[in-house]
Amino acid sequence: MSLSTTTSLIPDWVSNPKRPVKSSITRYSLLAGMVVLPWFLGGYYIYIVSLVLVYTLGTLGMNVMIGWTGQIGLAVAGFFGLGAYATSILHERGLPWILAVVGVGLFAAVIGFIDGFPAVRLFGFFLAIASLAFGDLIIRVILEADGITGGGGGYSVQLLDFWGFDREIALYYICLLAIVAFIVLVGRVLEGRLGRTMRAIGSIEIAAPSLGIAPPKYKLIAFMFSGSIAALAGSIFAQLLTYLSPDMFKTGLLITMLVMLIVGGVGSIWGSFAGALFVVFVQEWLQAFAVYQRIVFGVSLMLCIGLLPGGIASIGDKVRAKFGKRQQSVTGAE
Amino acid sequence: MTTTHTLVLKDLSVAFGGNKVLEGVNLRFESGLHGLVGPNGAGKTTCYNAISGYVVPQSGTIELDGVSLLGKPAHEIGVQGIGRTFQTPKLIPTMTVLENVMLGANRTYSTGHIAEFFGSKKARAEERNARELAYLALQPFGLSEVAREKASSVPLAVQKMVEIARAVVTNPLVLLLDEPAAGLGAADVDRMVDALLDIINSRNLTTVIIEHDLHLVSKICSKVSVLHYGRIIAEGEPSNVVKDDVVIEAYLGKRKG
Repeated sequence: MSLSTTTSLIPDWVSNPKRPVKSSITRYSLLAGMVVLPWFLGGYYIYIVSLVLVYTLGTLGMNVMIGWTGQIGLAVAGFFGLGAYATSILHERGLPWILAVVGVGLFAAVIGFIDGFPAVRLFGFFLAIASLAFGDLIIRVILEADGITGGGGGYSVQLLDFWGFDREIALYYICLLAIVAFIVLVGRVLEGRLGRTMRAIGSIEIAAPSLGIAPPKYKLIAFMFSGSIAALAGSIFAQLLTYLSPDMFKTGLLITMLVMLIVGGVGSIWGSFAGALFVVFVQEWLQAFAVYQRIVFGVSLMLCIGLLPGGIASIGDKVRAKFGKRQQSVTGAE
Repeated sequence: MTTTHTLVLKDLSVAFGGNKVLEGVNLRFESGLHGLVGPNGAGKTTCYNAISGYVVPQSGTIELDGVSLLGKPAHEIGVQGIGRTFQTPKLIPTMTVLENVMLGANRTYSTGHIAEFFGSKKARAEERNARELAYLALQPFGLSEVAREKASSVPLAVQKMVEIARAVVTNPLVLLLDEPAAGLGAADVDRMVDALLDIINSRNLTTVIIEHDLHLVSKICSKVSVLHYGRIIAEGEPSNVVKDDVVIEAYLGKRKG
């Protein structure tokens, strides 16, 4: 189709889409608020907010797979552990931390490719079981390689040197930088062609090939992407926790991240943040009452699945749909 | 003068286990609108599924402009020029109408996802081009106004037209439409048919339409084929085919006495 004669018919919002001013103001205000947060919050709460940001990143990795591509891949806790251990070990052996993070991110993409290979043939629960086993396999390797990882005895992370800066605050800014980088770079891709194509696999896989889309290719990309992001989150997580043990990256972590994903909103970048915020703060406030934590998470999950399938991130849409202007049919059909 | 494209099915048979769904089907689709009709379960959608690579035929050939489509993966057949829609519209409910149509423009990009990740100038230009193509594809259906609406919030008639617009954006050589008018009111059918005929005529597009409304098929198709229990039982001009005794029997049953 030639565009030369018809471009005058195309409104500017089509050719040059711009984010609504209101949305940009919200984004920049939130960012400014996050930047100045250490001036207002004590060291402990900064640590908690850093945890929220790291979990947000990890949950986003899972979100790309489940929310965008519709693949029930459950190896995310394993990749979190892979990132935490591999980066810390490489750093301890002399590699600059940032290079270790980048290297491990790329390595995790390769491992994600291997993890994703069965996804080309497996669906639903079968894929869930296979990927769950893969995540456990990563942790099993970490456990068995006790000469390097310390095995079940745990591993003390060599801390980053911040040249006298407050450690908690410096780590907070690293977390913030990682999230901003994710939203700017990966967010653009997820809202663009790759994201649309992944959503096509997740929502209308049957129709995707008729549009020239090869589902196996994009499933593999999702696994690589997801593994890499989760490993990046794990790298920072290790610095926050300072001590690692394989038990930290087992099914418990996976379930915690699934709660974050579902309560926050599957398929939404902001949902992952909302979910992580909710879970981390509930964990902190109910630290002394572990059983109540589970009750809160269980009830939240049921409420979300029953009443709010889009999670916290969909509350705005729900409110707008209830009180906003009703959309009229252009064809007159209902 | 636009080139015409021909899709030929020769002796095509499809079976699911022991259930023979298509048996020795011979069909030839040329430019214009071709109707494929038949009672429920006749094998019409299976015929589409075989053409677009969703099911593997037991025997026979499928050729687009003399090139065999058999054995090719479904996405490659899509790239080669077979566009299609589905009985129930397959749209992504959380995306806007425009974004759904943009999915059809995936093959217009020459840049990879790495360029997209880093926001290269060419990748951004191609994204803009895809947005414009999608917008233009919505115009014949009068759907520009809903381009920014979520696909889940528009009525069924609009969803069906959006799906056709998306198939058109793939720039198909042959377009297969599966019951596009089912469940639509008369005004919506008229609107859709007008837009469809405009598109078909301007591109000299080979189009096949599965439809139960024989009146509509007679009105818009130049040729019609009737499938019954997996076999072609009649073929020709719609006005003649609807009077065919075998066709009437297939639809309404045998006359008593």
